[in-house]
Amino acid sequence: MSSIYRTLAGPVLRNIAFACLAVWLVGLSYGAVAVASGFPRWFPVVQGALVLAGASEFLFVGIIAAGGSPLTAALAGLLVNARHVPYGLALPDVTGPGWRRLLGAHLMNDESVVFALAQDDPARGRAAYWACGLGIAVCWPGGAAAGAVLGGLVRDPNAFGLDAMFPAVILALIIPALRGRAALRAALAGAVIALAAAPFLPAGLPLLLALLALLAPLARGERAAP
Amino acid sequence: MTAGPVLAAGMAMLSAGTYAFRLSGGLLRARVAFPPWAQRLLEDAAVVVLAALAATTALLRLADVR
Repeated sequence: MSSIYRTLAGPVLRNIAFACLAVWLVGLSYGAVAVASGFPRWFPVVQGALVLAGASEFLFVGIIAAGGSPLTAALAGLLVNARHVPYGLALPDVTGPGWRRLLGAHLMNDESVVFALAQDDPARGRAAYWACGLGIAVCWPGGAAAGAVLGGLVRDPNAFGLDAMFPAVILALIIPALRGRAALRAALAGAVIALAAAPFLPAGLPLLLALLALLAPLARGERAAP
Repeated sequence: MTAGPVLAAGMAMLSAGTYAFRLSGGLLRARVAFPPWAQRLLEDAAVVVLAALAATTALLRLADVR
C-alpha cells in the first residue's frame, strides 16, 4: 500500500479521500433508508459489500419496499450495472493478472474508473484505481452499517423524513449524468412514463417501461452514429 | 417484507451479475470494440431507470394519504 502513497500526488489522494467520504455519507443514508423500509440490519451491509454499486442497491431496496419482487429488483439493478462492461473495455489494464484481476474487478465503480482514467501515466492510473476502489469498498458498507444502526434506533423513521430522503439521494446520484440535454430529456420522459404506468403495473415494472424514453431520439430521426 | 431467503436470492443474483459485468469488460478488451454510442445508451438507460425511481417514490408517496 505504501507504493500507492509514493505514486500518487497529494491532490489526487485528497480528492480520492473526499470521494470516499461522500460515498460513506450516501452509504449512511442507504443503510438508514433500508432499515426504515423494513429490511433486516444485515441486509444493506452485506449487499453493500457484495454488490458494491450504490445506485443499483438503492433501486433494489426501493422496488422491494414498494412491494415489487426480488426478481424484478435484481433485473432492474443489473440493468443499471450493465455500464460496468464498457468501463472494463475503456480502462487500460489497471489490475494485473491472477487474483489481482479477480479482486480488482470487484473494485470497479464510477469513482475508481474516473480517477484511473484521469491520471496521465499507467502507474499512477493503477495506483488511483486501487486507492479509490479499496477506499470505497470499505466506506460504502461501513457507511451502510452506521446507517443501519441509526435507522434501527428511530422508532418512526418517516417522522424524520427518511422516506423523503430516498428520492433526494437518487437525484443526487444521477445529477452528474444529466449534463447532456439528451440525457436530461430521456430522464424526464422516463419519469413521466413511470408515473403514468405506476397505478396500473406491479411495483418495479414501471421503471423498466421507462426505458421506452430511450427510443424518443430514434423516433425524431436523431440516430446515434454507428 | 419479502422473506429472508427470497431476499438473499435476489441479492445473490444482483451481486453475481454485477461481478460478471465488471470482469467481462477487461476480459473482452482485446477482442471487441464497444462502440461509444452503445456505451452512451447503457449510461442513459441507468439514468432513466433511476430518474423513474426517484419520480415514482417522491410523487406517489405524496399522493398516499397516511
